[in-house]
Amino acid sequence: MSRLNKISFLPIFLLIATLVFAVVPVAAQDEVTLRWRTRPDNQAEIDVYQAVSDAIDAEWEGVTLQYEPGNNEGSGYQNTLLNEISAGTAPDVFWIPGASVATFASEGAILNLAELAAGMEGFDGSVFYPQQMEQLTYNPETMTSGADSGALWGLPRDASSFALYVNLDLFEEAGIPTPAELQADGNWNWETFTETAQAIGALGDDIYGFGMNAWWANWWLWVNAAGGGFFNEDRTACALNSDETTAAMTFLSDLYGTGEGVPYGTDAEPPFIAGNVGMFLNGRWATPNTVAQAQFNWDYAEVPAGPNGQSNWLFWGAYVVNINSPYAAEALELIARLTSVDVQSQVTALGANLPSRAGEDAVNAFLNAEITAGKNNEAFTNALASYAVAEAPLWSANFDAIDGAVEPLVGQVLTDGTLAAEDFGTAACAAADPLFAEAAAGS
Amino acid sequence: MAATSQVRTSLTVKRPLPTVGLPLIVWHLVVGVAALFGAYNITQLQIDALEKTNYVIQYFGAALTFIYALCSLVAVLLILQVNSNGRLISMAVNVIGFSLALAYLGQILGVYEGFDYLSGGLARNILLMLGIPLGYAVVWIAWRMHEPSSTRALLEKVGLGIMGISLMLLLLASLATPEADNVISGLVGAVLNLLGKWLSLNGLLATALAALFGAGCYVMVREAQAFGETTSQRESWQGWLFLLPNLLNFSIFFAGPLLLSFYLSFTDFSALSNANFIGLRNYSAMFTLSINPLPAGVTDATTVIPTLQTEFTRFALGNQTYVVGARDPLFWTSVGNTFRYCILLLPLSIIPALALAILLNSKIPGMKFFRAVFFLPSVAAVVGVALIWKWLYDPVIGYINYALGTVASWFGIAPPEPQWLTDTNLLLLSVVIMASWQVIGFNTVIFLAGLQGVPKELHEAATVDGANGWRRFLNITLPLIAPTTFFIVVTTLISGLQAFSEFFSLIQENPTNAKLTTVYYLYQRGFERFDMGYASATAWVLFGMIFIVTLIQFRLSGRADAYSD
Repeated sequence: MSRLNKISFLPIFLLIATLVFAVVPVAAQDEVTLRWRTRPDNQAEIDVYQAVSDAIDAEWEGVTLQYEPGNNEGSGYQNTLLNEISAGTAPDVFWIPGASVATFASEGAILNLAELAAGMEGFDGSVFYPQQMEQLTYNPETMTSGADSGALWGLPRDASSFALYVNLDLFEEAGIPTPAELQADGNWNWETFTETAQAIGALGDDIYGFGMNAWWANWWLWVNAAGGGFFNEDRTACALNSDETTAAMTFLSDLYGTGEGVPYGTDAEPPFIAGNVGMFLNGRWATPNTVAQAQFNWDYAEVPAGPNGQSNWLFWGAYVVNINSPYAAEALELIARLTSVDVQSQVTALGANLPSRAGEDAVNAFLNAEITAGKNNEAFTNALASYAVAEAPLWSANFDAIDGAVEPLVGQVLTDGTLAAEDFGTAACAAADPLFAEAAAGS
Repeated sequence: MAATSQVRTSLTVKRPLPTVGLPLIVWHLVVGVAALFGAYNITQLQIDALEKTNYVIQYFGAALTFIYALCSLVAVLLILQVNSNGRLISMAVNVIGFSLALAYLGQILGVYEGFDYLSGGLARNILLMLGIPLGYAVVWIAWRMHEPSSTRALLEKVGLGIMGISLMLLLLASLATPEADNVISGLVGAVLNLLGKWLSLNGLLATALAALFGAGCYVMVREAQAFGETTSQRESWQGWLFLLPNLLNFSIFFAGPLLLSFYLSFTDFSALSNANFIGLRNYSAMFTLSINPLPAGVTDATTVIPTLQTEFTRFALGNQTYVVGARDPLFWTSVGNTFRYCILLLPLSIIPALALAILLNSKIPGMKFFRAVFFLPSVAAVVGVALIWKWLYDPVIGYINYALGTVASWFGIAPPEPQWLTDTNLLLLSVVIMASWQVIGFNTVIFLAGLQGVPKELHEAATVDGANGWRRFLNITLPLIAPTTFFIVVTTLISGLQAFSEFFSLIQENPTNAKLTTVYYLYQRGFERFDMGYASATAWVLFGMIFIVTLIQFRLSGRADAYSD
């Protein structure tokens, strides 16, 4: 047997070894090869992006595209990207969250595309939501934004905003009007929101009127709706020590204190999917899972108006160009193609986000997407078009550091009450301002 | 002692230079001078990819090349003296050169990309792999036949054929999609591509270098007698040869990054821009603390804390309240959380493991099954385990609170509703319970091995002397398994001090700082706040903490060792 093994396996092994060497695809010579990457939410998105990449590759003479699906948010998309940037092996084009643009730009990791865009035929940045482009054209040297600011850090891949995911069955059981009905009557505000949450919560010990997850955009939304803000006008200091912040935190503290909210810090999505939560605040990205899992009637609703009117976020991320890419012009061209109406329509059809283009064709493609046909998708588009504020990169300090200092204080207010709502603003600024000072000293 | 005398012998006995000595001397001279030239050139290169880390990796590479050059030149001198150590150094230089030349050849041929590409092809055509177990099954049936026969030989051939053909088909199918139009053209194109790369200047150079280094090594292996090789010397170099792959792997992928991280801890490296040397600033920011008396009637700590510091904690001595300010209070919070976690983890993962091991050490039917069952959580991924426990802990739809509520209803009392993942008093316990559940199986198996080494005679003698089970456990079992216990305590503590995944996966959403362990904090600084320099410094401080704690444990383990003899 041993002889047979030797005789039989040696040529097989040699052949396999040869083939392993040989199977490397023959790359076309004299072609520009662009590597690009984006953070997908799921495998369906990876498939769509791959198809998009293949289609662009096929029609683009002289350019070969290599699409590299990045890890998703939970499995280290940013970690991998950082390692590759530090090693000089990052792709030519990659996606980063909107809030990270300042860090990547000020650290010199991404290319300012303003000059290239100015010379590019048919380039029009105004087709995207202006809130996004204001951030993407911010020039830290002149502290101005706009088409002539001299800065363009990338183009927005997509957009999203918050909405309330509403369990209609619970509303029917409680016999109360839905948020959409209240809004139609012009009566959808913090007061009616609280009453609604209480009525839903009264349905049972394990039923909650409201749920939201524990990260900055959630509590900050209510601060904005109260007329307050995290930062001062030029975003160089904390501005949470205000009456408006106190009003918002008191409102939330009361809501959680009376047990109407899924305990802050608990992932509110599983209980919502299980049918135990009346109103769940989340972004469009929660839609695919809700569509797939929810066994009850549900719909979207706009976030209630606060003392200062309606408020929402415009969440976004951008395709940017690696500063070390040897093919900057082609990279910009690729970004333009990746943010076309056609591509955005394909991606938004999967349900996890909205187009970053504000035009009618892109918005209609989103509204008519089959995945949420018949639902109140306007809850998202109304916010984006009318009152959503773009999540903005912080150029004067590290936002993650400041968030890391303030978030525990939010937890203290909303979980165990060890910090009073009226003391939150002062404590938050005491924690955040040294970080601004440290950043100023460092720069 | 024996080795020393051999070295002395090799230095004192004059042997004639073997015939191959002169070419080898010339070869090592060439290699040495070329490596010296290479080391100098490496320092002069401006490799863009290494700019961000101030070319430290480049200098590290230059230093290694310089050492390699020195070795080659030293080999020249020693070979001239027909010294056996010279032969060993020559062999080492040639083996390393051979490995590097092969690695370079692989790079030129695209073998690494090839593996990558092949793995994609295998994934696409995974069904064709079914031929391998099928073929193996046929061979296995053949091997079950006791007598050699033509049927057995035929079955063996058929089985091997099935395996070989399915491998071929798998490779061809992988090759055919998606780049090639069809299998044949794809194969021909790929082979021509391979030949083209091999016949390039670099390909031929790498092949020639591999051949020369290989020949140099081969010649030296054959000249054992000429250099007076002893048995122990032969065993020694053969041992090192076996160690070589791991040694190279360790140097390149472990020691190198370790040294780099040590360097980075003295910089402001962000991963995005170039690192600037800032001396001990990261370490001083971490350790800067101040204790400030708070004047009576004043509650706002910011009035007494130095600039750039924030309040970490406050305490009272007599009537005076003091505020502890820190440049980085989160670091201290994370250290505190880590030690609290370890203090809870040790008893909760060791005592139940010992109890389980004692139970599983008994001769009850089905014990092997239970041993496997208890070990299962140890091999499960932390992230998957955390997802399950997250659901169990969920205050709304979790089974734990549901069970507690059900039990409470039996006694007619109000159901307790612990908020496992949000109550800061329960948070650490929730993580410890999950981590203990996962690690108990591993600890149990180790304890089991220890228990099985306890001589039965001692228990029998103690039983005859009238000792009950508890007394025997206390006075015989526990002391005799002390080395095992020590091992478990040390490994559990080290893993506890490095805790990250448990917290990251289970309580990432928690808004408080109760989730911050030292490694979690390190991760936040490095990957969320782009502060790789500071994160590196934190990693080295953590290393220091683990080292000190382990050292203390080793010192305390003297008594345990006394029983191990």
